[in-house]
Amino acid sequence: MTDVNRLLEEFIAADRSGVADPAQFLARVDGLDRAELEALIDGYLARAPRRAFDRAAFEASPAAGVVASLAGSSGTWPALLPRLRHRARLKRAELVARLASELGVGGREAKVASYYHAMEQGALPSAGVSDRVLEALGRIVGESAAVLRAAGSLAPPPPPAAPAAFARRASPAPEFAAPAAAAGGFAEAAAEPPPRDEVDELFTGGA
Amino acid sequence: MFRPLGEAELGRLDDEALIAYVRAGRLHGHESARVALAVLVYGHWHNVARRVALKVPPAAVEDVTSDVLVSAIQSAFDGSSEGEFHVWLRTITARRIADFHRRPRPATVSLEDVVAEAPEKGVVVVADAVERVLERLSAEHRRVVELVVFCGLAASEVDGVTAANVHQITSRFRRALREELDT
Repeated sequence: MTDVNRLLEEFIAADRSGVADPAQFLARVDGLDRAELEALIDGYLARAPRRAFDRAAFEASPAAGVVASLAGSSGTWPALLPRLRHRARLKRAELVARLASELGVGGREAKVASYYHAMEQGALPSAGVSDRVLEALGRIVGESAAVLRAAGSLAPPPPPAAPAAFARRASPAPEFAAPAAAAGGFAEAAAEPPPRDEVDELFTGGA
Repeated sequence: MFRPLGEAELGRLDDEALIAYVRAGRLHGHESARVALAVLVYGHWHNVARRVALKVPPAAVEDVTSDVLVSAIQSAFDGSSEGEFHVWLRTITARRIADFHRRPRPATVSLEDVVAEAPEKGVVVVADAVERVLERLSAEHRRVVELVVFCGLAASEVDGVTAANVHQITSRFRRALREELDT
């Protein structure tokens, strides 16, 4: 049996009992044998079955960012932004502090953090994020605003058709009914959104 | 009628069934659609990443792998993919690797991380050598090669072909592959 045959068989066997690293096997041959082994390993990997799902490993893997990208409304930011942040060797809190400072909204880091977190999670519609934010973010992580904008504009999945909604309505028994004034006060409070500030405009106002 | 499935049941679905489940789950606004998507992405991540790592520098592997999976799954959902998902994924992987080498992009990489040398010339061609040789085979010979070389079956386990013929077919394939790689 040639070295290439043996190494391919060893690689496949190792991969079926875990995740084998091709580089370790390729390092044992050179020249045309190496090229052949690489092509065969590549062919095997292209046909290999899916790995069994492991929730904890998934959550800690880059695959989680891809799922957030595909399921969210921020394009590929969930996959891209954490990578850029890691490459810039910045913790999220450090990045947020610098972003708030660059945007001139120092003192409102908590709100900036909430919006930035939503960008990484795919929960913030990318169209609403202003160029100022992307330019500032780009300067911090070393990427152009145009690249960040393009990554955020990946088409979101088609919205689900509205399922048939069935509301259950019931009137409380009279003894549990809220006094009219209290009910009205609650409705007013719920209906009135908090006033928008500059941070809201920067992250949701667009342009 | 949509029947929600648990994580274990989703793990047993094939790719096409998982994609159909994600579609149906989204239509019904069911959160298990996201779990199904996670099963699909996580399941393929390691194989795609290792294929990509054969052809691009380590610092770019995660970027390219993400691009591959996002593109492949998006097109599977919008109907622009071709054929079975695993074949489509293979096609997209080859395209994204080729794109990476055709359009070198400025990457934000710490200098401490730059340890990889640029891939050798012709690396993208190598990526397709197996497929090119397989395309030249008859359907029956291709089946034999797929089962024995890439799925690790013993010659005696291949239906309808003698072990001697299996050896002959796989030997010819390997010779043709070496010639393809040597040109």
